Amino acid sequence: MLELRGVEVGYGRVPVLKGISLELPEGQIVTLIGSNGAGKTTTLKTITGILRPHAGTILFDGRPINGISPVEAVSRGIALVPEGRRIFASLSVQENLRMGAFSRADRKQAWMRQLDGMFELFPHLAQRRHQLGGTLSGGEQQMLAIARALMSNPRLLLLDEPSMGLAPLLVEQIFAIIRDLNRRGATVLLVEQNARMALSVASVGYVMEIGSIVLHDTARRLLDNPQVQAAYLGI
Amino acid sequence: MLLGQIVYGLVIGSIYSLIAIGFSMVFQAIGLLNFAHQEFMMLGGLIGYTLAVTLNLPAPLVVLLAGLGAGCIAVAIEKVGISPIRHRGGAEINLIIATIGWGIILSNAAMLTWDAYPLGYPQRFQGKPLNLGGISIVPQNLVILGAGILLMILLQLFFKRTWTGQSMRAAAEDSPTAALMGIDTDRTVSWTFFISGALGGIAGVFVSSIFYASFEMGLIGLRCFAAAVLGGFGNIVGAMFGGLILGIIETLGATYISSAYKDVIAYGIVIVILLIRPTGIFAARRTGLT
Amino acid sequence: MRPRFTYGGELFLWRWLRLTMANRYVISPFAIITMLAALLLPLLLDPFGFLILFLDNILVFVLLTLGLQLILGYAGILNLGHAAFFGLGAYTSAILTKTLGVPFPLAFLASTLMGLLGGLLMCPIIRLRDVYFAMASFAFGIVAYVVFSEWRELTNGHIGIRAIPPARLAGIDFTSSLNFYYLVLPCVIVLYLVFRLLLISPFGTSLNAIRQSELAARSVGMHLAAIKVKTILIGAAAAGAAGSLITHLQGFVSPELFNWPQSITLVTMMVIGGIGSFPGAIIGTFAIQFMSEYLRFLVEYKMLIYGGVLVFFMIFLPKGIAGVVRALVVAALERRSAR
Repeated sequence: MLELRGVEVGYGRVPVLKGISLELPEGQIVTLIGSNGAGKTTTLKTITGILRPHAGTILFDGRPINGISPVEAVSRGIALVPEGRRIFASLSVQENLRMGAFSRADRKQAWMRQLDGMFELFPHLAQRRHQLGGTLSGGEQQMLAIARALMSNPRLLLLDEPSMGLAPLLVEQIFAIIRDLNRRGATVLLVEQNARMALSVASVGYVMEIGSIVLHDTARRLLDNPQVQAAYLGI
Repeated sequence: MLLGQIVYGLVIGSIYSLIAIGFSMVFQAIGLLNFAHQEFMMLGGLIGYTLAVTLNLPAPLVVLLAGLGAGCIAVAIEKVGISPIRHRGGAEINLIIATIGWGIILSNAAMLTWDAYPLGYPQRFQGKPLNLGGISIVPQNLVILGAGILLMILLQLFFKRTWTGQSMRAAAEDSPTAALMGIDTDRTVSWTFFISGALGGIAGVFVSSIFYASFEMGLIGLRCFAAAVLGGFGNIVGAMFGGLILGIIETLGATYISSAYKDVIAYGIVIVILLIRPTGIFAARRTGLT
Repeated sequence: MRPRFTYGGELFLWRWLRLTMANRYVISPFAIITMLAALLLPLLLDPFGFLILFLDNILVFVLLTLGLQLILGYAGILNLGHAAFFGLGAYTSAILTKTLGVPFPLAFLASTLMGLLGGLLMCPIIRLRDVYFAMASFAFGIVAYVVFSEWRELTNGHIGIRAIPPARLAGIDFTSSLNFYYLVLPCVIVLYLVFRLLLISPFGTSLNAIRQSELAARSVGMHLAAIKVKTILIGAAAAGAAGSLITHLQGFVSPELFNWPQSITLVTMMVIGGIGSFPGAIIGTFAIQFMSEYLRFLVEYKMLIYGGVLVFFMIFLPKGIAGVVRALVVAALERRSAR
């Protein structure tokens, strides 16, 4: 569904991605793991058009989408749950979700239906419906961020560090939701520092180090890989 | 007497509110102090004069079209001379100077178009004074107060209910994330300028129908910057109340203290409020302190 | 033996220029040439003509913009009320010399002190962040203007104070434009040298650090508030001195000269000349003053064109004239060093 071929990105003269290639088959969870500053977030920003690659191609459904704008990306069905959640603090939960459906052509008719679906999936948010986004707890905000991205009915969901700053129990919950979404047919690209959790839900994993992909394999085998264990799993 | 003063203060205040809201909206959306904003009011007043005198249109249509005209000019300025600077990563100070440049251009273009003399609106705009429970009120003032409050309610509904209004709030708070939702942030900025200019233009018609229209009348609008601060800069409901309060303070201050020092009162309040409550006297969201 | 004009392969003059731009030397060869030219310029002008009076006026404004450059360009403080200090100085000098008969040198010092005092008054708002400070300082300027125009007992209101005695110093009378030129030019040169010295001192190092990144400067433990207060005080004192000079140059003061549009004009001079450059402040002052004087032939289109120039600069030359010159010089220096 999504394919990156030799994508290079830099901020000014500083190269950040040094030609990375990866493949994301439809209906699967693929994870991108690596330490801080490896270029994981940059990869997601490039896919969603926030950053422009200066070399390489990004293919979505076999068609190049290099240099599209974030607005175009979401209307084509790519939704990003940004790092740090980025909830609109001054908008209510419901308004945040409504904004999630902004890109849809059928938004006027569809958003209420979609909203009900989200409240079914996240009953917790239903109770907070009219509360301002800024007053939610970290875990609730993460759920809201995921629900908001799903409101656009995306074909591809990109998640940037969904476990960041959450208590272990909440992390379990978020990953259960991701697994659940995948079971309902969502294709997910998951960027995580919590490599153990990420590899446990993903089918395929890529390991990034300072702007390059250094390793890729099925998630199962990466979990058993002694190098990965030493560097990212703390074994 | 006092009640009459307060009502008059509210009328002037509701005009201030309309201008202050526009000022605050632009600040909230792109963090810009728009020193050209008071000129949208001036343009509204003069466009309204032409519509009312030369074309002899009915008052509601004059208000509507003058607002539309000022709004369109505001968007044109944003497209030609504000956003290009933002997109090139221009500094705050550059943007402020650009708005000052636009302010000079607008008031002088207006002087060339409408001449330098004050232009009074026709008598039919004022109506005959009414006597309500002992207070003598010009009906026009009641209409202005009513229309001002109606506009502010409509604006709140627009921000709460419509897709465009809500997307403007989202983009003002966090533009990059709004873009991820598919919100075209260039469009929300243009909408912000349109509404801001249109509210200013309508306020201009109101002001001119009470006093007169002139290319220099922007100076009155500058005081609304104090109203905007009073309400917490970038806070729209706050700007609304800020305008009303400023109107009352000014009217009462002019009667009971001295009209010469009314700017000292208004701007003294600005400094004090910025120091003790930079978020204004209403909300507590943004903070101006380091 | 051939004389040596190079230093490690680099032309002597170029090295001098480069090190001045890097704030290692106080003054560049071009500044010295400009100063000499400025000292000799009146020899070419009609001593009773308009131009020399005009130059006197501009040089007074240079004192204002140099001070504002320190505040705005170096400490990054968006001061929209600088004309208030100017006014404080002007009224101090006017009242002291006219009403109390105080001699000019004393009045000049008192004006400088009053400017400083005005700076102190502005200090409480120094803790406000960027745009909020801008708003507060704008309000500060308006309050000052209302005081100038409404405290009639002291300032004679909108009519202003007239027939102010001319400046006299050590027996020399500075009534003529030519004499006045040689009063204000040394002030400008001294202030410029003092500011350049400041820049190469440790204080200047911290100023440069703040200009580049306020956050970084704070994180290495710089006391930002103290540095900002110092720049405001210095700039305000310079503005007070300028106020004293303008009073005696014009022979009268009235509040309009110190209203908020004046503060805005000063910032405009800064931005057109180039933020963060003292020569830029001087260039900007000359550019704006010459524009408002020599665009008169456009009559009613003058202000329209003026506004257009401002917008044009902000879109296409946001770093001002000094920014363009600096880019050209840096490019030339790089080409040379690459050779």
